[in-house]
Amino acid sequence: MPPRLRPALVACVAVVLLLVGSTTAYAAWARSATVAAGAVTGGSFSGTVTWSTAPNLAGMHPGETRVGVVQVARTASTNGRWVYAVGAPTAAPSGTVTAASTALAGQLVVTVYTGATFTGTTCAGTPATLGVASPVQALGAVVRHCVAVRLLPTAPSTVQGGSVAVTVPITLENRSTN
Amino acid sequence: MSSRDERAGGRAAMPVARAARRAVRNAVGVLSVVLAMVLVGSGTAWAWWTDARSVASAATAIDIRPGTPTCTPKPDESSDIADSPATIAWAPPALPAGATATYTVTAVSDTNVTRTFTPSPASTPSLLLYPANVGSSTADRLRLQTLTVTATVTFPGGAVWTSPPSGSVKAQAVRSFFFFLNMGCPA
Repeated sequence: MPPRLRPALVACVAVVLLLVGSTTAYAAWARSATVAAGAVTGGSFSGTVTWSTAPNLAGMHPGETRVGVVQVARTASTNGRWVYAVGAPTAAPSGTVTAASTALAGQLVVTVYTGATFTGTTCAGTPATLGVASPVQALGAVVRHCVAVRLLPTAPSTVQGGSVAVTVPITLENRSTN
Repeated sequence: MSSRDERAGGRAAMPVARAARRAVRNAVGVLSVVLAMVLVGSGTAWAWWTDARSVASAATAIDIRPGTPTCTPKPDESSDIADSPATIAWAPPALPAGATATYTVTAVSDTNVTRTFTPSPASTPSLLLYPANVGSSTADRLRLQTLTVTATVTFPGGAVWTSPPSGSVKAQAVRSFFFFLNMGCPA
């Protein structure tokens, strides 16, 4: 055996003896006991998203803006801080889909603002960034956002008679970081 | 000790040092892998609950259709010296401030002849309909007419909409005692 390999071989043998020998060198007394299982239940997490000021969107004319205020709240019955994210608002035909409702859906612009109030038909704040988690909210916090719905000034006559559902999605998450 | 012995001793020590360095590198490599697994694994081990909600509101466009027109004949005492008209009138649509509306009355006879009329001025929600307006011959003038009204609205932003036709009303000329034609309003 080349002399230079001898120390490595000695080291390997020592490691093997240590691993193998250490497991066989122990002997143990053992005793087992059973603990009665208790009931395990899952927690819950839920929030509420409602209109604190519902917008009246009936009978809109071209170029007109109507506003409302959406409220996000965490049910104060469970622990933990939370965050929420505003999703992209949608306008889609409601009920029976007609050419007029399809046309109307394409002529509505929905904007969620950072501000919680409005003056006339102007929301406070700036357009909110969609899909991004909010700052961490305390348990029991209530947050509001102004929502503006505008019928484009170039909306054609074909939107008459259409009916559209305007929806603002919001997702709450029970995490303490954003 | 001779220099040859010294060199032999030195050469024997070199493999040991090299083996030691290799062992250290291997240990560092193993530790790095384990550390990476702990960091990555701990990052993906987090999970949280979500609650997806939404609010909705129904939106509709303004209805600019005029009200169903009414037909009112002239009083009988004024209908024996000339042909007399009937007044066709309708309720204007509710419009936002700054919007203007003009109207068109369409008459369709029972022989499907169509004629259109514009009030004067065009924004007036009524007009007088004479027998001569609905035909060039007495026979045509005596035909039953079905009347509807459409509105053309110009909004403050410049958009121009035309409404669907209103509900309908009927009008028909009848001969007076002196052979004049008086526009009447059959039920």
